[in-house]
Amino acid sequence: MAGKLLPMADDAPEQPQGGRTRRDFLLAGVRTGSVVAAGGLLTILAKAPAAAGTVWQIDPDKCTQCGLCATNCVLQPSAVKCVHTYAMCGYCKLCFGLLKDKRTGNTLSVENSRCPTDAIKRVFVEDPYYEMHIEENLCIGCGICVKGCTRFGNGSMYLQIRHDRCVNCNECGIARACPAGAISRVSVKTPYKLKTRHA
Amino acid sequence: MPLPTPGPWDRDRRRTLALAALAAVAGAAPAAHAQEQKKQPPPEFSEGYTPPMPSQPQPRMPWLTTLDVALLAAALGLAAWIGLHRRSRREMRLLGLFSVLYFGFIRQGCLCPVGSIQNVALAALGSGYALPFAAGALFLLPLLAALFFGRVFCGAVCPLGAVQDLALLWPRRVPAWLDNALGVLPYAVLGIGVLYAAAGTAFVVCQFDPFVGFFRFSGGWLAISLGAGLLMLGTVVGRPYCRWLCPYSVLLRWTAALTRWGVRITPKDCIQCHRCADACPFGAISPATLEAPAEPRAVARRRLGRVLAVAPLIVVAGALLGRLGAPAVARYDRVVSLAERVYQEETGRVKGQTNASEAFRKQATPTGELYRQALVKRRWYGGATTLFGAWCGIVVAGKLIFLTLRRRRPDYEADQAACLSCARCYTSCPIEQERLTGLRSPLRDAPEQP
Amino acid sequence: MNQNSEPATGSTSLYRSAKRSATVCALFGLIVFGLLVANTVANRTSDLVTPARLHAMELELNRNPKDEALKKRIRRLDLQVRRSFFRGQAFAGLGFLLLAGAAVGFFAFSELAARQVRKLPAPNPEAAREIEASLPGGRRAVAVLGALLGGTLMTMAVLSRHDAAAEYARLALRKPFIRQAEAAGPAGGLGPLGRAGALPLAGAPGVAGAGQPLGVATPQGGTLLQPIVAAPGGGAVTPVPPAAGPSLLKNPPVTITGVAPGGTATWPRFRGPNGDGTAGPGDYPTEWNATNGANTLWKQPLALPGWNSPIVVDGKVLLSGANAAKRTVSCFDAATGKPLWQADVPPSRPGEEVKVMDDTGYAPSTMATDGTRLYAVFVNGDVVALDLQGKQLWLHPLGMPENHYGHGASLTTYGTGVIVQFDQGSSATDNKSELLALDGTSGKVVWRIKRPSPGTWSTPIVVKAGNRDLIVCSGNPLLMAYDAASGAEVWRAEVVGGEIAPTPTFGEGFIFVANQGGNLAAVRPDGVGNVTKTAVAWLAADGLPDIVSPLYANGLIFLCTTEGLVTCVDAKTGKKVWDHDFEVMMRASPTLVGGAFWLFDVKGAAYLVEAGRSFKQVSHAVVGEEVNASPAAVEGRFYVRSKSHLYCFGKKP
Repeated sequence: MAGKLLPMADDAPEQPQGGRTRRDFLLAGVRTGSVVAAGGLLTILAKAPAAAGTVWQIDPDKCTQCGLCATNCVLQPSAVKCVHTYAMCGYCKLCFGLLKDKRTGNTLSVENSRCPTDAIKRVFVEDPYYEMHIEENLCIGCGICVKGCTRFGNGSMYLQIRHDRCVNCNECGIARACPAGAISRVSVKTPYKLKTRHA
Repeated sequence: MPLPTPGPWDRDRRRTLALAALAAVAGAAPAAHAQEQKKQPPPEFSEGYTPPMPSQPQPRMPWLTTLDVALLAAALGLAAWIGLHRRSRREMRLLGLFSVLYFGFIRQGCLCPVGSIQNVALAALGSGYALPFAAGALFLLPLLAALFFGRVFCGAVCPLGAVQDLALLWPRRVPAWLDNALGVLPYAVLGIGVLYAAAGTAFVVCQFDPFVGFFRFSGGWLAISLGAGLLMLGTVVGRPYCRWLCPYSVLLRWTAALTRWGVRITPKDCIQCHRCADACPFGAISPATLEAPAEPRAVARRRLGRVLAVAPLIVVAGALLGRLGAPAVARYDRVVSLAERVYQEETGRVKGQTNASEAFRKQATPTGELYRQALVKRRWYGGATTLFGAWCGIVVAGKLIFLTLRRRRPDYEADQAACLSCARCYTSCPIEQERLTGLRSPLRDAPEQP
Repeated sequence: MNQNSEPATGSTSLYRSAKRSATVCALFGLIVFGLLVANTVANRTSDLVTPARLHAMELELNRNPKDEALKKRIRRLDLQVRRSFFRGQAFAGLGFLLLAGAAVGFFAFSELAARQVRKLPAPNPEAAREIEASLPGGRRAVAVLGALLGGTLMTMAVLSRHDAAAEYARLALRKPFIRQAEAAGPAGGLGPLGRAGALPLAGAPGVAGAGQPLGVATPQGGTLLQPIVAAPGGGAVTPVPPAAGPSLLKNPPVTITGVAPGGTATWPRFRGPNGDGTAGPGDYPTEWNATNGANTLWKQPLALPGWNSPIVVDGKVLLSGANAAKRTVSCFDAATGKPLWQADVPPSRPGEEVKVMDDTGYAPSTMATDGTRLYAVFVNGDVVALDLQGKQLWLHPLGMPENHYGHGASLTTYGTGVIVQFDQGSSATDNKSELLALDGTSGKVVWRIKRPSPGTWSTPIVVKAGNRDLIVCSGNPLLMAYDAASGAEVWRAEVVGGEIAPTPTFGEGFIFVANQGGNLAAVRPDGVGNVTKTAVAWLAADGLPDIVSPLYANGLIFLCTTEGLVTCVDAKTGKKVWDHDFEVMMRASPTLVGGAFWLFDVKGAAYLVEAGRSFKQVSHAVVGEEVNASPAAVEGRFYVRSKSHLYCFGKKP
């Protein structure tokens, strides 16, 4: 049978006679059918709204800041980072995303600040407002600041999967580990769940 | 409702004033006040400051995924051309290297046809998931290729296969009995993969993908150790993952059995030199069968009768065991394990909370609702795991029947279902050498001499 | 692989050096691998991720906040931890590259070495016989492997023996458990008040609402469970909570009717018998004018302010009023306007300072009646019951709600009980809001369930959808339905948002809810669980109201913003049909009379607008005084509360 493809087809072994022809005919039918079915299926898929596929994202309203995002992502550091919706932020100088609730004084020194990698920078805007800027390359996605901001502040800081880093595993390590079931597939066209208003 | 709510506007402004004052003295505010202060409305800036927008780095463009599909199709075509027309082991290896580099290291493994089984299962049997085009195409293309050209996907396109193929340095034969027995495993892996995927519980095939960790330079320790172990084993045993674990191999095997043009070892007549059978590290080349069977036909027939009689029992036993094991299988599901945990907490059997039960309580879903959801899942698992057990039974029984039946083969033949299209056998075929060099093989004159 | 053209043996020296190089690569790779493992372990247990040491020091610092030396130690350790963490991460990248390099080298050199010694494939003439001989072994091995698979399942089965899950499954199916579990709410025990119970439906004299309460409290107890357990087809798989089962939208529509007490209660609560703002039967005037007396039957001054709407029962018009010092319920004769009685309701906590908004005042909530008793609720959470003669039967203080304006939602009744949507707090996760049913005769809690919503002004409606009696409540962000008898949550849809004030309504087999900051949504009432993905027919965003409740009529929904923008929306699609800006403030909810509806602006003008697919103002009327409350429309008469008077408009006999 391979003869047609081979350069030495002419002296390929004789095709066995008899009963095989019907089998070959059937098989050819099966193959043609499969190709037509597969083609049809793929055309339907390509036209479906979900064709472009999905990516993973965290629902900030469900997130409990357990910290597993920092350790369970296949990437190190994690593809999860803290995102800040400034439009929701109160711009407090005493930011509970930045500072611990129990402090000795109000300096920014490490014993007072939450972020383990010092990734949050407090930038003066105008009296008495300060912008909390997050240095994404330092952020490890531990969610400690998010916890502070959610408990004591406006909840303007929250965790999101950053798609410039995420490799979009078919089985997402952190989605599997997430105790709140907060991570789900979303359309690749709307890859973020950004907070826009007060909860 | 005739209740005039104060406009949110007024309220916010009022709070803004009060809290702006608070913020001004915030330096001295004791921590205890923190909780009362809670919402701090966004200030109105006087100096034209506009709050920055959070950046949204976009995921990989969808058309690049389509390009991957096109590349896969091209690679499949190329592998078929190399394997069936060019008949070149060297080119096959080069293509394999490319696949490892591109589909493996550059695309980092996801999505791949092996994993796509689960996407298909979830979309077809589960709910709430629509199959993306890429997943569907990745699932179908290698199967279509197998239907026409044999398992060329395994030969050089699958990065998981190619990386093992490159690692196979000192091939040793695995005893046929062991190969036969381990050949049952992929069916079981396929079953469990589909089971958990259709339930929406997990994609276990991806979770325990042994090589993707290498492609990504990171990963879970279990998967990495499994991968390292398989690669070490793979230096002497040909492609252990492909042959004894890969769930996709089951589908490929059955489609390739119907193939139109598969790998044919010798370009024309076979001179019965038996070299190719030894060259194949995967035991996919079967010699011509013996003229006379080793045992009387009646004995073989009685044995077949026994096996056929036992087969239904095996299937029923599998189904029964599946049903009995269902609760433990279902426990891998998040909702089921959570419901169990919450129930134990409610009844005081365990103390404290897990991350998950704590998160559940924060979401304020009624426990009854959780129990009901878990119950639905468990019922589904009850049926599905029974089917899974029956499936395992069918595979074991089928394999036993297969090993009891006698087949006739006049020649050395590549078993299209098991052949991985690696092109190794060509290089040892003397007739192939004749084709390449135009010289008459010395083996023609003394074919049976070892 | 050139063994075909060459003899099997290659160069011995090349073999040796290749082998040596491969060994070196392997050793190097192993060392790198070991370092990588150590590095990963170190980084995963780093104080940065699990700050055990730092945490201990922090606790110590909390005890001695002035310990400067300790602070220094913390700073030093933190710096060290961070440094080693980032160094470790940098090394991980490099290490993997080195490992990959070593692997490539190892395989390349090994391949080279192997090539030098690779033998030609050895023909094996015995192959066929060997294969035949291996068959019995193969069968045995397959049997062993099958046994292993079976053994694994068996182990699983043994593990399932003491199956706690089976127990909760049995419990989940048992009726009283659902009642307890759900009535008690997710927060677990609610103390002595959280006693589980169910509201018996009063022998309501045959009005729309004489339906059977759903599931748990009826002989067909299982009905609440059925929809989810016996979900059709593959849909029996309920994946993770948010997406539950197949869409309900293709199912045939269910009928929804209001559940009203009936009897002598002709306008028993806010928005009338069905809670949907539809006037009772009667010959209503299409115009009136209180300033010249046209169609004005009577007018009575009100002693105390209040923004609640009048209710009508047994020929009596009732409303409540309050200021900081005094709270009353007033009763007028519906026919003549004659004041019949006025009952003082002293607060449960005398002297408590109650903070309210100046405009909403101390009596914002409309009363409710079940035909035999009157119920009122005041800003401080006092629920009070009176008989029709004004005698106080009981007072149940729910406590001062935690918000800036006191309790604002109106009451509803179901059977013999009064339903209070007692929402409070500033966030859905505060776990403070509750829905309660109080027994009408005693004031005791029949059931109560926590609601995931911040404070709201919205009134619950009671409807019969299919064969289930539901209490539907708007909240932020959930529209939720509860089993009217037991209070068990039946479904929830995440479609609302913002500061919740408008009350939901219904029609065409859908519950409609509209709120500024959220959506106008059409939700099927026959789901179970989270139905956001399965029961929401459409969402729309045109002309969303912030106070005024939506009105359904003739396949259309009418929305009205406080600024006076009236929007008509198609109830099937959610598409805007028309809008009209009255350019006046409106706070009263619309009332449907025949094919048109009345709107009242705050200045005291009323407009009769045709409930059709194009805007047409039919008529105009004048109250002449500030109006914030919705009218009661009974037997051809409108009872309208203005800032300081109660008017009755109707055709003069």
